[in-house]
Amino acid sequence: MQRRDFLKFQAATALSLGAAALGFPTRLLAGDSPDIAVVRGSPAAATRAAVELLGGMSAFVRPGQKVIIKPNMSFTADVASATNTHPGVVRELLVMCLEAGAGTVRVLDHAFQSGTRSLEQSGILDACNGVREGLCHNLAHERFYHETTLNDAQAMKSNAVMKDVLEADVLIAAPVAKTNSATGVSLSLKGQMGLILHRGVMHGRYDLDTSIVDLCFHLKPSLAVIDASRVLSTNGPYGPGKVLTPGEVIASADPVAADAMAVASYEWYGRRIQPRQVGHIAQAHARGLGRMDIEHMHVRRLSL
Amino acid sequence: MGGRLRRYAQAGSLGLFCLLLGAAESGSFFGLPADLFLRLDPLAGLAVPVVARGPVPGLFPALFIILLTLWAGRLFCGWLCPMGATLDAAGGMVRRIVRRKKAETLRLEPVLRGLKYLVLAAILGAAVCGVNLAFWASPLSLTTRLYALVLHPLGLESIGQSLEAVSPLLEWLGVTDWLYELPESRHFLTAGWTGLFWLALLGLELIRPRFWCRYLCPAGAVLGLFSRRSFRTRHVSAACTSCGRCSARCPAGIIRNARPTEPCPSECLACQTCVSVCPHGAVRYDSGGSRAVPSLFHQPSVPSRRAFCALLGAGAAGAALAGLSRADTLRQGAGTVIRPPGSRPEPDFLKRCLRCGECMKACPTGGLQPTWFQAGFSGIFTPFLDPRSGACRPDCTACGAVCPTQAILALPLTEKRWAKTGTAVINRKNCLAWAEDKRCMVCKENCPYGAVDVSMRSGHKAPVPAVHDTRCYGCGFCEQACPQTPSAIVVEPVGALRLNQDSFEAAARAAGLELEPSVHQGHVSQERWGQADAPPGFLE
Repeated sequence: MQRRDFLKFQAATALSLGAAALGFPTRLLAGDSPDIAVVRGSPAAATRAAVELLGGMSAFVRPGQKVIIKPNMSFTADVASATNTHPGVVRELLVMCLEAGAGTVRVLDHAFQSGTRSLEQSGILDACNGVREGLCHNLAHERFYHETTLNDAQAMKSNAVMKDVLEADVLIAAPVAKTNSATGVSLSLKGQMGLILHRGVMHGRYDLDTSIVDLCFHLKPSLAVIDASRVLSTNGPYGPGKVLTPGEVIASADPVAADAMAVASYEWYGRRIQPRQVGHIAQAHARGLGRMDIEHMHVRRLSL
Repeated sequence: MGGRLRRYAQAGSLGLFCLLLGAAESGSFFGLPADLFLRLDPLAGLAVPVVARGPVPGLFPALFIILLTLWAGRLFCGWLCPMGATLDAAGGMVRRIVRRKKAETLRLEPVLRGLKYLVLAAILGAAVCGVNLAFWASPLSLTTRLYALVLHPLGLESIGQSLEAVSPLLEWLGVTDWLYELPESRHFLTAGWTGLFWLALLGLELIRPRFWCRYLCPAGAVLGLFSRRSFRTRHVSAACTSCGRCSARCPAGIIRNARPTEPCPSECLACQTCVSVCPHGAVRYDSGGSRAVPSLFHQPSVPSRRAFCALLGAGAAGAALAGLSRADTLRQGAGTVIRPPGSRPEPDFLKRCLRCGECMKACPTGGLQPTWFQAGFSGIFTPFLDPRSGACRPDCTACGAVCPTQAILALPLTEKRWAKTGTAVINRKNCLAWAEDKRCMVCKENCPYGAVDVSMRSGHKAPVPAVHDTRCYGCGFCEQACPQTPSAIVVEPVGALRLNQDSFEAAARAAGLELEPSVHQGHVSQERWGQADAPPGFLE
C-alpha cells in the first residue's frame, strides 16, 4: 500500500510540475484529472487518449521501473471473438510504457493452454514483437511462480504468484470486457487470476468472489485499461457469444471503478446490470479495495 | 572405407533420426516426412501389411531397404539403423566403463543366432493370424519410443533443472529472459518400462557387442534372409595370414579365427570393419567372386532341421498368441480409452499401430500417452488421449500426419474437425457446481466447442454445467482444467467417430454432430436467460 500511495503522490507531483514544462495538450491534462476516462475511437488511439486523460503514462510509470501488463490472451480465438484483449490496446500500452522510460516491460498471462498458440491467435504476440521481441509470454511452468502470502486476505491466504509480478513496480491490467458465467463479468479484477499458478483452488476451496478480492488486494493494478472496443456480452469467457462493438476504452487508476464503469456501460445478456450485481465488484467496494459508486466519481468522456 | 566412414554414416543417420523426431510436431523436416525411419523398418514393412490384409503405402520405403539388402547385404543394420547406432555408441561407452576380459566363444552361439528367426517367425505367425506383435521387437519402433518417450523428456527435464539450479547466477547476470523460451517438460506413462528395456539391452552389450542385432532383432532376421544371396559380400584373398584382426574387431562376431574366409552374409552387418583393419589388404567387400550360399538354412547359425522345427513351433506359438486378442475379454479394456482423432476402428487400429510413440512426440500438448492395459492386453503401449496430461487442440492435425501405418489417419483440418474422439460426462457428485453450489464453470470457460451449457436449476444456488453431446468433440480441455481431483468432468469414448476412410464430415453430419462453434455464435443464451433471473454469474 505504501508504495502505491507514494507512487500516487509522485504522480500528482509530476503532473502539477510537469504539465506546462512537458507541453502536454492542456485539453488532455487537467489539474483535476478524472477518476475514470472513457474514450471512443480506434483501439490504439482510444487507449492513448484514455491514459492521457488520467495524466499520461508517466503518472503511473517512472523511468527505470519494471512494468507488467496483464491482458487477456488465454483463448485460441481471433480478435473478432472478443475473448482476448485487442492487440492494438496492448501494443499502445507497451509503447506508452517504453515512452515513459520503463526499465523492463513484460506482457504476461497464465493462459488456459500452455504454449504460444493463444498468444499468436489473439494477435498480441505479433503486436508486442513488433515493438520489441521477447516481451510477451505465457507462463505455464511452475518455475516462473513463487508461493506468496496474500496480505489482507479473508479466504485465500496464499498462492503461487508470478515472480515477474512480485518484482514489478507497476502492474497494468488490460482486460477485454466480457461476460463470465461464474463471476458475471471478467474485467480487471477477475483478470488478475491470470497472474497466479493455482487458479483451481479459487473455484473449489474458496469462495470465488472473496478469493478474487483477496488476490487483488495483493496484486492491485495501478492502472486498469479495459478494452471495450468489442464486448463479449453473452456466453463468456470463451464464447462464441454475442459481440457488441462500442468501440470504447475505459481507463482508471482504480480497477474497481474501471470495472464498475464497464459493467454499467454495456448490456450483458441483453440487460442493464448494476455494478453491485457483480459479486466480486461489490465485495471489492465493501472491503475498500476501490470504489464502485461511479455516479459519485469524476468521469470524463471523449470521442476521437 | 569401413571404420570411420561408417561411423559418420551412423552418426548422420542417428542425427537425422533425432532431427526428424524433433520435427514431429510439424510433420516434416526439409521435405522429409517426420516418420521416415519408421517407414524404413523392414519388419513393420513385412508384418503390418500381413496383419492389415492389404498394402500399407506408408511402409513402401521398407521395400527399398529390402532391395538394398538384396544388392549389398545388411547395409541398413551396419550403416543406417538408428538402433544399431545407439547400441554401438552406448555399448561402446558401457564397455569402456565396465571392462571385461575377452569373452570366450559362447557355446550357445548358433542357437542364439537362431533366436531372431524365432522372433521373426512368431511375429509373422501372429501376423498371418491377424495379430500385430511387431511392435514388441520392431527396432525403429523401439528406438523411436526410447528417444521420444524417454530421452527427450529426460533431456528437457535436465535442462530445466540445471537452469533452475543456476538461476541465481542468471539473475545476477541479468540474462533471465531466455528462461521463457525453454520448452515445457514432457512426461510419458510406461517410459520407465521403455527405459528398463533399453538398460537391459545395454547390459547385454557387455556380453556381446550388438547383442540385440546379432541374436534378437527380427528386422535383422528379415534382412538376413534377404542378404543370403546379396551381390556385394565379403571376399578374402589368398593374402590372408589368419592374423585374426578382423575376427577380433568384427562387431557381428562372425569371422572365425580358424576360417576367416568363410562368408556369412546373413549375419554380416556389412560394416566393412574387416576391410579397414586388414593389414594385408586381403579383404574386399564387393560383388566379385562366387556367391554361393544356396540353402536357406545352410548357415553356421542354425542347423536346418532344428531351425525348421523351431520355425514351425514359433509359427504355432504365434498362432496361439493370436488367441491373445481373446484374452482382452478377461479385462474389460477395449473401447474404454480415448483414441487420437481420426483413429481407425479399434480392431483395425490395433492391427496397424506400431506403438512407436511418434504421435505422442508430435502431440503439442503432451496429451497422447501410451497405455498399459487400459485398452486391453493387445492394446498395450497404444496411444490414448489423457486430458490431464494435455487436451486435443482443435487447430492441430499432428498425430495423424506422422503415423507411419496410418492407424491414425492423416486428416486435413477440415476433416479432423469432425473426427469426434469422445464425449465429456459430468460427475454430479463431484462437480463443484452440482454438489457444492459453487460458481465454478471452469469446464465451460475452457471448452473450445461451446459444448458446455450452464443454467440455473431449481434446488441449486449456482448455475450448473451440462454437456451438449452433439457439440462435444471429446478434446478434454474441460477435464484438464477442472479444479476437482479427480476431475468432475471426464471424457468418455462414447460417440467417438472411428472410420477407415476420411469421410468424417459426412459421417459426423449424418450422426447429427454440431462441431462448428461459429455456427451457434450468439444464439446460445438469449432465449435461455429471460428477464426473470439474473444472467449467469450475476447477482439479483
